[in-house]
Amino acid sequence: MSQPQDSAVPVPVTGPPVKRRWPRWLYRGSMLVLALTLLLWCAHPWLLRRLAAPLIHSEPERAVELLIVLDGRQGYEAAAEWLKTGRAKRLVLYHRAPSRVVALGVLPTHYELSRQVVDQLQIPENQIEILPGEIAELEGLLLRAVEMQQSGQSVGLVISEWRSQLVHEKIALLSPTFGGRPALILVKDPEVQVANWWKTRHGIRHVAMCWTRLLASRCTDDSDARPGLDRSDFRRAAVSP
Amino acid sequence: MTEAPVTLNGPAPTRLRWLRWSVRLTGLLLAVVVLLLWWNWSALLATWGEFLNVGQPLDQRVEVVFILGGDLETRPFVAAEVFNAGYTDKILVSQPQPHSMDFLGGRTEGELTREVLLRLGVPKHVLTDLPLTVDSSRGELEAFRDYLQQTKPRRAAIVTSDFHTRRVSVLLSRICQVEGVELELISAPVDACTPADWWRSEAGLGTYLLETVKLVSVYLYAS
Repeated sequence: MSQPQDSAVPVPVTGPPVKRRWPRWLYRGSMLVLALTLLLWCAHPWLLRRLAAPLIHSEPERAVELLIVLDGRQGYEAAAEWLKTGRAKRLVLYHRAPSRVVALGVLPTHYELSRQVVDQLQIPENQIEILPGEIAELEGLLLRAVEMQQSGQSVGLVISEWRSQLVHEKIALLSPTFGGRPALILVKDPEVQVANWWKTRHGIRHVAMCWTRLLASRCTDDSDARPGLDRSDFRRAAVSP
Repeated sequence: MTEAPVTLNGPAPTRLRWLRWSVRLTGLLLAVVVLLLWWNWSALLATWGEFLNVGQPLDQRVEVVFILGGDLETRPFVAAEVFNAGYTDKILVSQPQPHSMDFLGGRTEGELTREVLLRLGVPKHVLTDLPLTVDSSRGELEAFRDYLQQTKPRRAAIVTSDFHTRRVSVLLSRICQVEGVELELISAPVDACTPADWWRSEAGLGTYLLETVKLVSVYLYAS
């Protein structure tokens, strides 16, 4: 005869069903995250414009005697406009130290490229000046511009707006006083604009690159100049000895 | 008589415990990273540089070498050395899109890459252009995958900058696995820095910071 084994049987819980609730902190946290997400979604155009704004250093326009173009064909087009409208008197062309591709004869020198553009834009020869010597890097060119400015000539640097804060900070290091600094003349990049840079892949890549360059410039003094690579470096990289 | 509210006593639910432990573990890991950075940051930064560089010089012939677009000053030079050492008979040249602020005399990077190779002694018949539909590393590798599927070489290699090889390797594992094709990565050195000292120069620091951001985005991006 079997005995009832009451003690081994679990006692069922009676009463109302137990409601499993989220802990209060998790509930509040989730609501906060949701609200923040919504806010970010609503404000993202403004926030993204603000994110790009520190890369751009704009200053009031002032007439200058000399223009030096730092950024490509768009820069020369802006310079031609300044010369035409009388806001600048002369354009300064310069020789840049040849890169490996230029030394190989594949690409014309920076001076030759500049000349081609200047001829296409029909800038009169009497408005062209040539900077003596060879410029190895951006800092060298900025130093020459600061020297010209401090010798009494007013200089305008024509530059893509995306590099303007970087160049402004470099100039500020070279010339602590405002009067000794060349003016910055900003050129808009037709492909990447502050109002909508995040809408294209190229725009995102470009703004990320400008930010990393600006941060890198603030963090290093670039005092460790390295010797350039030569053919043996490329051979070692290409095939095992 | 009113019933007393039922309370759940005992251990917290497993999911909550897991969450708490994750937060603690993350905090601990961050603390360890900060400590290590404080202790020997240059060794850690060099380790990161080496982590990004996974390319190797070739030790066997490959049927085709693909030059990724981006660094005209070094990548074609390495590819030319591969050809001149007799390690390949075919070089594919990427055709990245030109951009408004380029100052290349109206020519494209692809055209200039071809000309660099020709000047370095690579014959014209060795070179093939690889047109891209999307101007990115991913777009280049997708175009390369299509090429590999059509031509089915046994071994192929990609030349890109040393800091870029890790990202390319991740992308290769996701989008460019073609059966029967063995792929090699060749690291082209860059002028501004090496993986062991990238943080010392402005150009190196900027390049590696940007590459780190791009690598993280590739890891996060679901293929």
